Amino acid sequence: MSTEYDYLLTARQLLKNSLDLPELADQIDDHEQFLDAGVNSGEIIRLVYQCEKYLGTELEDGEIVNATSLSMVAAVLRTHAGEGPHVA
Amino acid sequence: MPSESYRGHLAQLTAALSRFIMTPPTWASYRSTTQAAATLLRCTPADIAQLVRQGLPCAQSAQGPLFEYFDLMNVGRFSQSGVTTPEMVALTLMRFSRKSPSTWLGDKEWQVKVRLPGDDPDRYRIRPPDFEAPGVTRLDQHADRPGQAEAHTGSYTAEVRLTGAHDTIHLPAAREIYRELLADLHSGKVGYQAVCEPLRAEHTLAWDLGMADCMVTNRVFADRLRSAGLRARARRGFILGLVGSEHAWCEVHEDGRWKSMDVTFAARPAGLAVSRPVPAHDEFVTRCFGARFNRILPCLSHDAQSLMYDTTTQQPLPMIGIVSATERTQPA
Repeated sequence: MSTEYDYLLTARQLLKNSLDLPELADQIDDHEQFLDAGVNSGEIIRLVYQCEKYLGTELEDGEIVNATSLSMVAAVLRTHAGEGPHVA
Repeated sequence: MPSESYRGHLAQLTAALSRFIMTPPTWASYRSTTQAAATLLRCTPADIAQLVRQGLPCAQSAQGPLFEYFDLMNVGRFSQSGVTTPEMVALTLMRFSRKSPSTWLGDKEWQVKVRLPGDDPDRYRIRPPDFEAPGVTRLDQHADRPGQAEAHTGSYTAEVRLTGAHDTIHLPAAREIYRELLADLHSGKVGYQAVCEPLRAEHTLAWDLGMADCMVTNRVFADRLRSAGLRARARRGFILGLVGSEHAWCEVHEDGRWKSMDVTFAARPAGLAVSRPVPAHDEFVTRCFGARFNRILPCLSHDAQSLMYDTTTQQPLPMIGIVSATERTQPA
């Protein structure tokens, strides 16, 4: 059974996969807004697609617009627990 | 050696070069570097060099070749690869068109963040939201946020309730002109593609050249409506989403109020003219004639003029900052 930490770890890995400079993902706090952290629009949209690829399903509009921080992405992953291919 | 799928991506980018009209040199501004181009198109600098050999225009500089941003946007949009940033943004933003009308009509509350490029906070200015437009209710009233009287502002946050609605338009001339434009966009007589800001301002020329985005289309639309004796205006603002974008539409005055028409949404309900599995809801296209959507935020822009400008050059700009909106959950 995955813990909150596991979901955050996965969210951070998905963010790494989305950034032009993946190492910057380690400098972003769990609750820091991506925009405040300097994540650009292309990287944010790639993160959405990374989440969908990981979960194997398309996210709902409400889930996408609120995926503004690692903790919020982790919450989306938790909501979909048990679904998808799960290869980060 | 590059993988088969990787070579496929380059082939898709190359194929895109023949699917749109490049920005005429007179109007082009070659400023994007090879690295910026590669990042936007999710490819390597070597791939960009290959695209140049295949006809992607550039200007040589001390930094190496520089590219027109809107040409790059079009390469991405027309590549049908599904992985370039322009495609991903467009396809994600327009997903709402697949949902039932109840999700894009009615009330929706948003927290909107507009971030201008941060290198010099005084360099760029942007027109604020039109809080007095039909269907827009401002939910925050803080003094440090854009007021109605301000012509321009810097980065801002605003909380709004947008009320989507559908209004019946009875004017035969409005419907006829709407259909003409839609037919031109569907037939390919005019290609729906990204257009640079200087050419957006010369919308009639752009249309005659066979290239139009939502700004060009709706300015042409407003011109034709006015020529037909109707009271009309092009509007410009944002389509809201986690990564939002500029958008333009047209309004005609009838029955004592402004009524919206979105001919470019009707022409490209999925965001791109590609055969991807993103069909719009059955009602979406028909509702575009008369609908005001609850994720479209109008800004104070006369006849869809540029939202941004550079204070150092006094030049109008496309939206080069970031607009990001989340669903509002906390009271202001």
